[in-house]
Amino acid sequence: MAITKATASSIAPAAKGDLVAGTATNDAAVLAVGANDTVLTADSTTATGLKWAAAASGGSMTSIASGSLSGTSVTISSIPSGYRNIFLVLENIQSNNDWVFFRFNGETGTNYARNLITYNSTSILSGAGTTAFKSVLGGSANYPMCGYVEILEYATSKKGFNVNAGLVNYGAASFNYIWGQYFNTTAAPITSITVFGETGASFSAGTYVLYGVK
Amino acid sequence: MSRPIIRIHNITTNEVIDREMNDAEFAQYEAEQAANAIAKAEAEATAAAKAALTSTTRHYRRTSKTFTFLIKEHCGWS
Repeated sequence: MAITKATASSIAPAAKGDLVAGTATNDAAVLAVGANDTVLTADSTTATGLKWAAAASGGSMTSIASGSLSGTSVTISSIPSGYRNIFLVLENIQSNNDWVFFRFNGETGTNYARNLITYNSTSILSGAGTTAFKSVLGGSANYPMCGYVEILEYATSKKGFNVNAGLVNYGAASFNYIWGQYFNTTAAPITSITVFGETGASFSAGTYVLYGVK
Repeated sequence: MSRPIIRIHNITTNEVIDREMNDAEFAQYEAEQAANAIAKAEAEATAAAKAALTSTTRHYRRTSKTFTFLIKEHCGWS
């Protein structure tokens, strides 16, 4: 028997959002509306074959720190765990055209390896055993720069981390795309990122936002 | 003489501190400046050598063409 309007009325939903659902051949029942933000999901173990359940969580980015670039270096420390990746966004980077370097956990050993492509190069510049994750691009007042650094699975205690970075000098229309690895001396999560310039020049402007990515 | 200023942002306390480098940080800073200066000098020397080689090669090509032309003219080669 099809559920007609009359049939549904006789079942008499009790509240806004209640549904009438078939329970078997020629039979139906009311499925009460679920909690806010839940979604209707098939479940053969329930009487109606349906249930309300929390929506599957998707990826999300949460801002966990922000500030301005100042001095010869900026260290973002005590990075909390609880995210899958971290994503550092840098805007309006200005210094004395200093190439921007990144250091993790304050590690100054030759524990970094990176490959780099510049906008005008058909070749890949490689550097293994470097003392920082290095770009070959700097920003100045006339040619400020923006960019990002992404560290995958930063919160796990391990010795190797994949790192991606991109920097764009939007005054000079040049860019670096960098990918590589950071090798921890001992297995540990990454808890700090230091941004600094090649020649030790001070930042004259710039901001950063650190995101946690689920 | 004052040392370079660094900024540290502690996320747990949300505290931002600007301070001079301590002894260890300053030693590392100076070592890196020295290493960068050496690397920069090496890169400039490499670039200069490359430029000189390119210039020599161009000169050789021009000289070679001139020499070939003169031989052709003198010997009546076509």
